[in-house]
Amino acid sequence: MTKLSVLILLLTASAAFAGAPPPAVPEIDPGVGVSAVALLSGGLMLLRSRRKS
Amino acid sequence: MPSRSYSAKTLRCGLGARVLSISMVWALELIAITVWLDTRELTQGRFLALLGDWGPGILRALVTTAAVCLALAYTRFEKLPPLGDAPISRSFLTAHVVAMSVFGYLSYPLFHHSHATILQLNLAAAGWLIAGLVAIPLSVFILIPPRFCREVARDSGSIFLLAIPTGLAALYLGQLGQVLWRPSAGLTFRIVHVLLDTVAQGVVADPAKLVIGTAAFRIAISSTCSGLEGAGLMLVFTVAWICYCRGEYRRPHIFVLIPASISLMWLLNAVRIAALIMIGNAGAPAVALGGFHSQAGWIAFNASALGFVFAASRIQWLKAAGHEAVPAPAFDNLAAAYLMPFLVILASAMVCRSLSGDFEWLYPLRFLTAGAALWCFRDQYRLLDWRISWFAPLIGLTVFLLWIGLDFLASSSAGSSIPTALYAMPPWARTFWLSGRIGAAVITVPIAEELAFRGFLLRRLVQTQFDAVDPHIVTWVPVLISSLIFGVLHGNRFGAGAAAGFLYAAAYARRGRIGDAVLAHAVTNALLAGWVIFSGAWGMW
Repeated sequence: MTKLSVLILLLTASAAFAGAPPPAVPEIDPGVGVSAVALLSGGLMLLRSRRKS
Repeated sequence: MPSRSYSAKTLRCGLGARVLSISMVWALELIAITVWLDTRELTQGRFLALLGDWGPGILRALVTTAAVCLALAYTRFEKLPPLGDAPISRSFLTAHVVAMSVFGYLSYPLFHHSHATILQLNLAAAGWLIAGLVAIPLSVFILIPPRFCREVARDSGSIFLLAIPTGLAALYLGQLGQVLWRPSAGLTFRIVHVLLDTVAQGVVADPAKLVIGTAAFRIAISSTCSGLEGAGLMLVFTVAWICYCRGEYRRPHIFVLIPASISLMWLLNAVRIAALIMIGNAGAPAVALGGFHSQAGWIAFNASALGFVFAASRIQWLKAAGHEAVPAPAFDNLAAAYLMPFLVILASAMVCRSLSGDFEWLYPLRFLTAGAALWCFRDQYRLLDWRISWFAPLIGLTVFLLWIGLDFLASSSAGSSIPTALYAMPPWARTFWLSGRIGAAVITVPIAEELAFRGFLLRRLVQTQFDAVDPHIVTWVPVLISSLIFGVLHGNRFGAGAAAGFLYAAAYARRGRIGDAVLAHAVTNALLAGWVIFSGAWGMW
């Protein structure tokens, strides 16, 4: 049941990606995505390393 | 920060970490390609027109099918023998870099004006497509050996055949989901209306056209600003995170956080739009529609995503047996000393840009916040090797010449609003802004970036306990990966950024001193600052 839930959620997430049209004035601007993704990745690394330390 | 010798011949990480690493490489390459090519039209021709019309849909179908494949084969992966210490494959890495280089080289005539004939362009397009498709499995084989992939394919049996129609169905369902855009925009419109009514007077709203604002400043909430985009991104992130850390959380309890995170993201999008209207109403429409509009969505997403991970790590009710919730206080670990100044620079840059129009007048704030972050960890920095060597300034000078040369060849410097804005400032403000800009370039940015990229990432790519890795013996693969990521962060100066990262890594690895890398970086930035100011090449800032 749990695995089925994960599967359904992943399918829905895939569908969300698959149906995304190219936005003209987006909520999430890809032009500034690199810095934002770097910040998120660094934040996640910090949270994970804190857990392991 | 104690160090002990470590030889890096194998890569000690499991399948999940390897799949995540490959995904990150794909994401970085996709971002670099998107930033470079996405605003350009594909040159038209028969085969090219076919690619242009069907290419994006086919790409989405491929990615969706791959995601569904992974989901369906999820249970089988856990029964496979562990990957153990399978090393990074240098031959597949080289082949991937070659394939991506061919892809990049052929992209130029396809996406730029070219004097080539249609036949030549179609041949280039065929080669471009083959290089791009070949690069995908090659990137997988870098971290996951082909033998292991064959075992997965054999054990998964008919699952992969089932995944193809399921992936196509997901694609179709996703397109059907577009009918949600308009109602989503309507819901966001109502939330924004409520928010504005609580903080402003004289709110003007037209529900039929979804136009809202004040007498002085109003906007139309388009479908792409409805909140659905951020909600979809949050859904992908939360599900991916739960899959990645599936052993740590209680299921189905952890799923409670998914709708909570999506709701938070939706609410923050409405707050973003309300704040945008208030900024415009306060007399700064350029800020509202410029920096704030492009940055605030990402700020909201990062806040929601990190909030989700933080909550998942802190609430004991969500943790699986044997996994204790992480106690406060936060950021008392070694990684924070290396990463925090750089993350503070990124975060303050997003905030400063979001409060700016064409000219980032708050730039000195980046210098001050980074300085504060460095000051907080000063005790840990005293334990690092800050000695310097003669070759560090030489490397700094080399990177400067390379930077200037590549900029000249690629004509990547755009026009800049800096000189006009500086000219309009009073002298004290001009001096303050320039001091902050130069201080950041020469002091805080070199220290923060070298700690993050060479001190942390370069060694973290070798093993989890990064401080145990001796920089003298780091192999060229982590150097290359960390340099490529460093290059991606420099946007349209990707090549110069990657080369600079490689040379700073060489400065660091030569004697294992972080001081050498910082000095080399500081020399480059100081020379660039002088070049910008005295030659008037403001576009390089």
